[in-house]
Amino acid sequence: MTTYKDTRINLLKIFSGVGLFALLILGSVNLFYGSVLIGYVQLGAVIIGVTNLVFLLITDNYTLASYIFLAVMFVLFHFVLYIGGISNSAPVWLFLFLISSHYLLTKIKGILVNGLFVFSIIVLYVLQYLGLLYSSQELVMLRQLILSLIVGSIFLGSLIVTSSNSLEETFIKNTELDELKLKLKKEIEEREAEDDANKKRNASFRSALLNLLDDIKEEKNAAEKALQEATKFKLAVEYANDQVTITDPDGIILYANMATEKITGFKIGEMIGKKAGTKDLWGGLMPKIKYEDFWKTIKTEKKDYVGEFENHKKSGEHYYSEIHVSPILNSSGKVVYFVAIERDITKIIELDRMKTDFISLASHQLRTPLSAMKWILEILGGGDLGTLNDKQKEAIENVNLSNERMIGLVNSLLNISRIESGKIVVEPEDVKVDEFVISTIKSLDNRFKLKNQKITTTCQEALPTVNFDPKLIREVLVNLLTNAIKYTPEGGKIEVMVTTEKNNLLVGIADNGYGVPENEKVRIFERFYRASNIIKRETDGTGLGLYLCKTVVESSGGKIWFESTIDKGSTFWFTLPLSSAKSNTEVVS
Amino acid sequence: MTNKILVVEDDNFLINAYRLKFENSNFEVRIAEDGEKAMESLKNFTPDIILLDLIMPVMDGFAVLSALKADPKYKLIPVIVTSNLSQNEDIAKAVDMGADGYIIKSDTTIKAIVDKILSLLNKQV
Repeated sequence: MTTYKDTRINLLKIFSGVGLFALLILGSVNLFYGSVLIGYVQLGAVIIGVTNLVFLLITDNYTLASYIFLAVMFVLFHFVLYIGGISNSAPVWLFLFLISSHYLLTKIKGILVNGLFVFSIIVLYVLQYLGLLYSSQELVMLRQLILSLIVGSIFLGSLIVTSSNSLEETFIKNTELDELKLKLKKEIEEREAEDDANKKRNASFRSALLNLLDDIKEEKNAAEKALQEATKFKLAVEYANDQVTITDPDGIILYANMATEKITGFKIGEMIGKKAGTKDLWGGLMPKIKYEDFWKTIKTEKKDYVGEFENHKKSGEHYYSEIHVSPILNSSGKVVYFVAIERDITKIIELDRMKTDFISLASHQLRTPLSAMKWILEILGGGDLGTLNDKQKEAIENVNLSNERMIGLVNSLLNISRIESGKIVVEPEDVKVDEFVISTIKSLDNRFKLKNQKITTTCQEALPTVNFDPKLIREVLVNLLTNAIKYTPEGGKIEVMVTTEKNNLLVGIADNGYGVPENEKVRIFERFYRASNIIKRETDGTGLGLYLCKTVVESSGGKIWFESTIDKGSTFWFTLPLSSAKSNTEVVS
Repeated sequence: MTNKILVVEDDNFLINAYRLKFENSNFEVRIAEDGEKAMESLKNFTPDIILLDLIMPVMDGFAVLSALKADPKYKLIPVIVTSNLSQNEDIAKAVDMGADGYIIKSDTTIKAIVDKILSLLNKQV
């Protein structure tokens, strides 16, 4: 695109080229045929002009080139005027400066430079007129000068008035247009650059966005997964059969699952915000101390609480719960929540009660005829109903023994049932161990004699008084001794050892009987288990004796174990703590 | 001196055993087969001691015990519970209600019961 400015620059170049060529010739002519001085000046002007032209070609700095051009012309015309020029007509050409300066510098600057040019010529002539400056120019020339200036001014004036208006406007417009174009171009370039930058930015933004989207996607997936997990757990808790409640540290219910509603009969809405286990909800039925103990455990001691509670439903109906409450602590160990899991064990309790009732009934119904037989046999054997001969006495004794076995079996069954339903109560008291052991052995004297077995007892000297439940421990001792009698052949040896070991009383019952088969040793304390080698020999046995012994000894804080070699004998040991004073209210379970 | 005893028991075989043993030991024996009959017989018979079964038809031993202990006329008569219930809570309940003894029948010979009663009465005298 060729702009108006470009045209002017090109014109200036051509103009300068032609002018410089003409000046070169003129200068050369003056140098060789006319005024040498003018020739030098003119050639100097050519050099400056050429330099300017080269400068313009290289830099395209139009404005500076214009000023240099005008300055050279300014100096040249003044010089020509001063020395008188090459002819008298020289000043006539002065209008060229006016026109070119106007053309090159546009209106305002053109007028200013023209004014300066005219003023400097007038000053020059005034100085000459006053005789202050010497000039070869005659004053006559002044007319020509003024004439040329008038001609130039008229020309210029007409140019300004007629064409210059439009020219100027066009020029201005064109300049403005050029500037606008340039501006536009610049703007376009800027925009393009901006676009590029934007594109680059957009690209990086896009990739960042994609990364972000990926991240979001991943996060979303993770969140969805977590949500799924959480939902799974929530559903598990929500639909669990056990009552699950979450409370704040004061026991105010924050969450209750559906089972809570189902078990207690209270609606979730009725429970939230209320204190768990109070009279308003399902609690308040048990002694105050039980609740105090409960809160102390979970809130003060920050420990789990496991126990059985009697509660009531909204309808007032009572039910039993096995409760497990855990305090949830934060990092600084402060309770933030309590989580309670409660299981309705009413049916189990009822079953247990029925079982107990059944035991009561069974014990009564089974024992009453056994008691009758026992007493009648006693009366018969004792001769209350007439004297018996020896054979009759022996027969009565046999029946009596069978009856006693039956009573023993019933008692064992009842004991087992009681142990299993937690109904055995340990009632410890201070017992003189040696006397206790000896009297128990003595009560079995007849049995030893019957099998002609030799019993020896070794008691450590000065045995301390030990605190245990004599009724229960007597049962243990009797069971172990009768086992020794039963499972040792006639004429065998049975030894009872009583000693202390560390903080325990240690009791051992050794026999040289049938022993326990190696592969059955692990099962010997199991309920109803009887070793294979003795089932054939002794039909009298329930398989409950050792189970009872183990339960009683362990519930008294002791241990029970045995050593045995088949056909060589067994030794059963049990310990009881010397310093234990078990509470007499403790229930064995 | 003849000791007077009221035996409250619903099992005939046991009744026979009691009667035989106590009469042999010089007791005047009165039998009641249930709780109501026991209360009835007390109206014209004042025993030195009462042997009381727990599980009986019509009126059980606990009800008899509580009626006896609630009545100033009878509350000083010693009562020995003889039962085949052997659970601690039954024993504790009977003792709490004022029973002077608790005998598990199947674990005791009849002779031991008579001896126990005799010693108890002797102590009182």
